[in-house]
Amino acid sequence: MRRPQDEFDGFVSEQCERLLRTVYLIVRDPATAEDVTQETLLRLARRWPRVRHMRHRNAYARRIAVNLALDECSARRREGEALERQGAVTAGAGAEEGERLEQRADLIAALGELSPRARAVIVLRYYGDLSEAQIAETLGCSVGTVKTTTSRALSKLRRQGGKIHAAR
Amino acid sequence: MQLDEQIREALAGEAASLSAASLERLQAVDYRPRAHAPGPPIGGALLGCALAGAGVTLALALGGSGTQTAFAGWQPTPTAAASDQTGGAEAQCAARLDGGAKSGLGASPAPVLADTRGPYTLLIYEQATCFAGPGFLTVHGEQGSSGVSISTTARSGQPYTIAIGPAPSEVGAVTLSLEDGTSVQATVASSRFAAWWPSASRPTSVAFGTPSGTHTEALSFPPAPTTTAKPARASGASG
Repeated sequence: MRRPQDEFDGFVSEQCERLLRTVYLIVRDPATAEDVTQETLLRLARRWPRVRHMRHRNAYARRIAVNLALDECSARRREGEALERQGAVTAGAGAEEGERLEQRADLIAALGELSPRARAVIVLRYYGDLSEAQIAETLGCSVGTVKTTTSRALSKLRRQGGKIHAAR
Repeated sequence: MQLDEQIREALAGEAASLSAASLERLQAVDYRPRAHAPGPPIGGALLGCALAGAGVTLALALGGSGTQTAFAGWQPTPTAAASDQTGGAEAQCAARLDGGAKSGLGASPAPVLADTRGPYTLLIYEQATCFAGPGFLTVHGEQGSSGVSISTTARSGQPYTIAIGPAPSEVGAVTLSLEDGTSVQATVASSRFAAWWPSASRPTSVAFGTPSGTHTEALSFPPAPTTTAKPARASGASG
């Protein structure tokens, strides 16, 4: 039987990267993503005697991380940051690959224009591969709200992405 | 290519662009709560009871002590708050704590102690600690120890330590001596003291200034783990 400490180490080993990258896609800043993920793991460590018995402890960890990330976004108003480094990525690419990377950069920039909550929905749906019900549980809202938010966010991404692309 | 597919690809690419160093730093942290090893009193029994329950509520750190670049302007002695510094921090912290309920953090709305050092404000609440500085705000929940407690964590890989403890009503000043030789004067209010410093250095003693003199107590905390003390875990991407 594994000791609780070993279980927690194993949990961190398995989940840390996924949590960090998910948080990063929401907060869009590496240092903030580190802080948020660290605080998430810290809270989990304190509550581990209880958390270790949970059936859905990955979901519990994700819920803490995403809500902390959204709190951070609310506090810092980080929306609207341009991802200029994408330009450097496309500079050395071939024509076809360059166009694909440009589209990716457009989408990432458009994601930055979404509200943090809408961005979280898109990240959980398309990066986390979560169902609408799982996203609703993570964000503490209804499935209907998730559907509406997703639909509006996709429309905005479609419009915004096209606008950015056309302006080049 | 469909939009769904484009979004998946864009997010995967963006997530992969995150530096591996970020993950390594997180995986090098020892998150487990640590036990306290009380030290013998140096002198004065007045505050022995107050320190009897001293403990580390949390100890985690990255790297060694002494790196202060992330905390420019820190002072070992509390400074007067700039205009609206405390009020501004209180408003930001209140907003975070209000939102903390959904992430399991509860707190009273008003701080019981405010410590300012240069541009940094440390607010102590009944059930939480809020640390604000230029461009950042960090909230820690579930502090709680009847004695002196320290909490070492990191911001952008730079460790910092917060110390909180009881200060009986007759105490007017509290000074912590760190193992690296630094003396840090704490802020005293509401029968508590609080201080922080930009390193993982452990406090070795605490001196309480009272009308009848100064009483010093030894403190003994486990050393902060370093990145070399705990081997980095293998990375994993499951979830």
